[in-house]
Amino acid sequence: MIPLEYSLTLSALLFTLGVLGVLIRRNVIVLLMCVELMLNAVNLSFVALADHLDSVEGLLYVFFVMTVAAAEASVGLAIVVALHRSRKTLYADEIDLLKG
Amino acid sequence: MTVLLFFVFAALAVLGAVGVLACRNPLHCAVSMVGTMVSLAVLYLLHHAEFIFAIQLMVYAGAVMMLVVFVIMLLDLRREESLTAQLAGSKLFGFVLSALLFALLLVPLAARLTGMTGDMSEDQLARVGSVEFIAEKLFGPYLLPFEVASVLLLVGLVGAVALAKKRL
Repeated sequence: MIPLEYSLTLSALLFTLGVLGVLIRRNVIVLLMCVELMLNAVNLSFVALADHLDSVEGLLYVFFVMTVAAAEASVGLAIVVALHRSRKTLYADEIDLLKG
Repeated sequence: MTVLLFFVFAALAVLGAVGVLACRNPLHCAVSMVGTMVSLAVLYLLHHAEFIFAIQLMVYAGAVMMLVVFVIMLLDLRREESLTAQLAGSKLFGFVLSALLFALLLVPLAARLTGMTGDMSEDQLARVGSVEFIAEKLFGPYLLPFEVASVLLLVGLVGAVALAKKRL
């Protein structure tokens, strides 16, 4: 039996690393991967709490989070491809069309 | 033994996450990410979530990361160094901000849980099995979210095709 605190601390650490990646990286694909990392961290805390509380609902939420993550990845990567085709860049600093 | 395995794979997961942040080449980032996801799958197994372990490996480490690698290969890889050199200030800002966030996320650990527990006890699991238990819930009380999830996946599929097409 793994103590709940260990899993939740690991989850917090992974989530923080995901946020840090979104803040310091500029490549759009890497930003998407960091969002996936945050989703994975949340999944870990869902699973740990489901195990700790003997509740199957946590596992069901993980299932739905994974569904949303798969849809998000496919649409996000399609946007990256379309963006690369129209603007020839993958870097968040150069995607500034809204600035005019 | 379980705790030892937990520490090994937790270290591997954190190492993979750091690799995602530190690698210059997006393909190396993707490979580190696969490492993180496989380590997390093992952690799910240690938490008695066999079904989540299987779909983590198949959906995340398999399908989603394959898609990411495919897109990286499709597009050209220009190095990022020249840009990040100008960003030292915002990098420092990012580190400070995420350190604060980490401290904030650790606050709930001090709080006490409500003490409410579900019905997935050890003997119940031994009787029906974990996957059957999830299926009972998923096709019972959670049938509507399940169907909505399938519609969401269809929308994602059509949306990805529509967005990546050359001409609509």
